[in-house]
Amino acid sequence: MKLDWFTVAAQIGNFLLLLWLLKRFLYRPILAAMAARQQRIADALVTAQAQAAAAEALQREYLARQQELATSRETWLTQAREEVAAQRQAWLAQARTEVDELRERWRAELEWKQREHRQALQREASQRLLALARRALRDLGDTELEAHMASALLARLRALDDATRQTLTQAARDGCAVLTAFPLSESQQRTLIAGLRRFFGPELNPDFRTDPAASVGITLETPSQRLAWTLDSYLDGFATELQASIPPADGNSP
Amino acid sequence: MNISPDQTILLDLGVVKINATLAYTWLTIALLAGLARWITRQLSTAGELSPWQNLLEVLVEGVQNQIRDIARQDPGPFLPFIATLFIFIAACNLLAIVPGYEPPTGSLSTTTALALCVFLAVPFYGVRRHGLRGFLHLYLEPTPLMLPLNLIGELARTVALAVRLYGNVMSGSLAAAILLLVTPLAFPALMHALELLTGLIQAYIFAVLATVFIAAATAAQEQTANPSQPRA
Repeated sequence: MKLDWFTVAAQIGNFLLLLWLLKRFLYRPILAAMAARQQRIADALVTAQAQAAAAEALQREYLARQQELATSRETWLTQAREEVAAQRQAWLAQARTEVDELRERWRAELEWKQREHRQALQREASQRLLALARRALRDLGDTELEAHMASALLARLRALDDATRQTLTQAARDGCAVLTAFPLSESQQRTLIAGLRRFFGPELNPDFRTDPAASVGITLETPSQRLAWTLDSYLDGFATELQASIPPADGNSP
Repeated sequence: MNISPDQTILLDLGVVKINATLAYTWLTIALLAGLARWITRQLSTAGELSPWQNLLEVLVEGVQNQIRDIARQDPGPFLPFIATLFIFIAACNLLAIVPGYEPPTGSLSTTTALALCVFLAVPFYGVRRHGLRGFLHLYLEPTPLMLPLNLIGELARTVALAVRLYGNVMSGSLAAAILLLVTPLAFPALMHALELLTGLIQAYIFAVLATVFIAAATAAQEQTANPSQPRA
């Protein structure tokens, strides 16, 4: 075992050369690459942590907003339900009012129509009744009835006041006529003339005329005045009273 | 039969004799430097790594972790020296499987040179880190009476480093050569495979011991500079 000091010195130099070469071509580039990758990983981690923190903050904000939204939604729903209920009540009340008004209007209209119909019916009934009475009286009318009517006419003359009687007397001087639906007998004419002369003077000479179309009764006509007692006048009075008894249709009809 | 490649003289220039040890050392240096240059030519800092870059990063990071675990210090300053020791010794021992290759670590001159490098590296790192005065004070610990023993210890461990590596590598190669003469081919082949494992272990032991020596010097210096701190 021999030690060659030249070789020892050369190997020391060789080792130092290898150390320098590996340091230049191996350790420095490898360590730089590892450091760069570690730095990249660290940067990525920092970025990831920042993103995670941002995501967590975003998540917290989102959850808070979601919670707030849920609360607001409940409030809004409650408020909306109350408003809908109130609106529904208001509309129901309004609808009830309108229905009541319509019902009242319809009832009033119905009552008005019923009343009008009843009045028309009453008028029609009265008119038919009057027509029936007129026809019955006309059918029943004869000389005897006319004679009674002459007495009634004389009674009416007696019931006149003085002014009316004077006016009628003045008018009778210019001539007068007695109009009947049926011809009067001679005795009836004499009785009537005698009664009239007691009121208008003895010179009165009435002219007796007959008109079958005239109503049952007796009419004293002068050129300017007219005094009658007929069944039509009675019936006209009755009709007037009947009309007065039927209330007219009120003004608030629809 | 040559038991050391030092005895194989390739070129004799008088004082300067180029022997096989130097030649294979240069070959190994060229191979390692070329391989390193080729691998680190296109390093990737993102995305996928090439298998060679991955291998080198695993190697460098493994050495870093070993230094950190043993020295309990930042491995940065020691990494090039320790890793070069390991890579060179491991490469020489692994290349021994190549026919015709004589590992330079089978030469006592080489192992002595490496041990001297460690011997010089200890004060180099100690002085660079804590100054000459602080480092020299280490040899007076625990008492100045221990100075001779400390110096003898320094020399003894350097010699032990050199002889241990030389003995293991040389004996392995020699044993394989002898067995090749007296046994069938299969047995020396198995011995060679075993020598690969032994060579790697020797490289690891040499690097770990160098780390321990350097770390002891720097750690002791720290202990001296900061006596209040507990010993690591």
